[in-house]
Amino acid sequence: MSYHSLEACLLDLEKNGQLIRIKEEVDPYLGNGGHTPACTRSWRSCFAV
Amino acid sequence: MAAIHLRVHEAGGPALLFEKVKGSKFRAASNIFGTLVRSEFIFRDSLKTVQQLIELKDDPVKAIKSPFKNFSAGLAALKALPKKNPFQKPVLFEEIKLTDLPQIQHWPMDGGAFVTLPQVYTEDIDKPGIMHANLGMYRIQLSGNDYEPDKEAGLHYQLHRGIGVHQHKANKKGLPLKVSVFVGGPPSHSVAAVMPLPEGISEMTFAGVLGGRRFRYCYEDGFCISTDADFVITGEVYPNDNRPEGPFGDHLGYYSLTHDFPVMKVHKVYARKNAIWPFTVVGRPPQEDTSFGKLIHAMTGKAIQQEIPGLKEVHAVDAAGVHPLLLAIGSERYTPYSPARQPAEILTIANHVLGTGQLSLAKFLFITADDDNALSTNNIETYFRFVLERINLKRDIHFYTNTTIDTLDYSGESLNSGSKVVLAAYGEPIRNIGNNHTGVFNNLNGFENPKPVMPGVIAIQAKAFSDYKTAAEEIGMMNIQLSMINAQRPVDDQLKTIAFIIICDDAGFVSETMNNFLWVTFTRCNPSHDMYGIGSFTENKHWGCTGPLVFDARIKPHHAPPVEKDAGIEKKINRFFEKGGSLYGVL
Repeated sequence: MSYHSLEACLLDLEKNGQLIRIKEEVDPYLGNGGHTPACTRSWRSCFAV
Repeated sequence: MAAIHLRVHEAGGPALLFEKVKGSKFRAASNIFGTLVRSEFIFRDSLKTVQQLIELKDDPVKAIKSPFKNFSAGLAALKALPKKNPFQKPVLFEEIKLTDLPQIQHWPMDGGAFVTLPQVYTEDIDKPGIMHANLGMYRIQLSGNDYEPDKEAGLHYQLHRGIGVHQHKANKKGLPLKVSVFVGGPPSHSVAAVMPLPEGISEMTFAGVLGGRRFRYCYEDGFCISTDADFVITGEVYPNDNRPEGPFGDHLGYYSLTHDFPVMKVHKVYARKNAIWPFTVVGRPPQEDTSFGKLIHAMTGKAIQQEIPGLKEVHAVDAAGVHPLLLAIGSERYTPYSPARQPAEILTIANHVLGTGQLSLAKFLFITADDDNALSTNNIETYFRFVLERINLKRDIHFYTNTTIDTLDYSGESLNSGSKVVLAAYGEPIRNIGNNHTGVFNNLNGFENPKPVMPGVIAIQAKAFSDYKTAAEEIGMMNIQLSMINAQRPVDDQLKTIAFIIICDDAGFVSETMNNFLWVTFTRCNPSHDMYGIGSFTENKHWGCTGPLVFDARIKPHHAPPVEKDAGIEKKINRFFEKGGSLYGVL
């Protein structure tokens, strides 16, 4: 199949039982309330011996 | 959204079209490439042709010998040429803002929303135009950190990537690098962006052949636009303009942490009518990118033998995060007249592997040769058994220290820095790994809960890692205790049936499945720092050991935290799978 768009591909998948539509509203955010931990760790912590 | 995707993918479920995304008017789609079968279905008409073309490149003689077979390949080549200024340019339908896009945050500690299936397009400033351009998949951070909303985005790209060369060239002239990020469009475009193509072959021509449709493009304000894409973000990267990017839960199964990466000053964002935002979720393998990898392997598997003479097959082990562990089978033809068989040609091949494209990112490279051609790298346990029976730990371990490693791998001394090791095995079996008991390990001071992982491999727990000095003392104590036992009970010693000892935080977890063993051992070890040996020695610059090899696979303080699902979110998404929900009865 030569698809001219992403949607054409998805419709083809749906026609072949390979796609499900999620009709409910979904939340794109999967988080912990906006808290971002300081993840700038230092390698020194375990090399400084 | 990410949690729904993960659950559906894990169950081998269908592609998903999210029709209502909170905060955005655009729909989103995921799990499109979720299984190899589905990926092959999408490209069912062109896969054979692509395989043929890749083979043709290796051996042009084939084209002359079988003209009929290659006729269709020739036809397909017509689709290869990108088409400039097509009549219709759907993606220019409307101009939008970055914040109009679905802002998908995938893991609890991620620094913001990311584009996970972008096709990042850049041109060579010295050779402008699409034929010398680079298309790659480097994650884009859309929000969070210090990025100014709607004006800036983070551009995460790693060592050995084509875009780096383009930025370097532009910066040398003091000019910003023009970047176009395409999202969506025909699925062949996404695959082209992750395809490891040989130097000089354009991703856009490959996309045309794979998709059976010419790659269509135009220029707007000097930026290249993929007119079939669903979205295009254009912008510029200025010399030395770097900003903290991350954290991001990545495909090793850990967070890649916050580091400075180039920032893209956004120029414009375009969307086609009713555009769909494709995304994927990466995490501890296997994930959707696993089947991406399998699809690429299906297309290029045979080409590797042409690229590296003597190499029969390679397998970058997905369960171990891909780059950390590479299993290879080569040929041994150097000294057929000699009765003593030991690694020779496979060592040359190992060097070639570590000097070849993406394979050069391998950290643990196992290589062997099998005269009977019965061995495969796909059955990992059988492969390991074959190697463990034959490897001479005094002779066959070769370290590469103080070198570069994959950016996403935090096991090294600092970002991009670490070590590699080649473990080579060839010849008759020298070790009987059949019996796997934990007897001699039961009463070791400082260690507990020994568990057999597979024949020849044992996992044992120790208290949490504190620093390298303490680790050396702890493993020194293990060495003394095991060496004493070894001296007391020669020949039929249980210790001789063990090749690898894995020191870990949770031996029950490591021994539970082969995948757990592979993930823990190879993502948490830096060869030069975390490999030890019972009865180890250095002789004429060569390191070896008379007893088992020891891997300290405990989590170290400098490692990134593993990505973990949020129990609250998992509970929240149950409603989609219950009666009345869109996914009821689907899994």
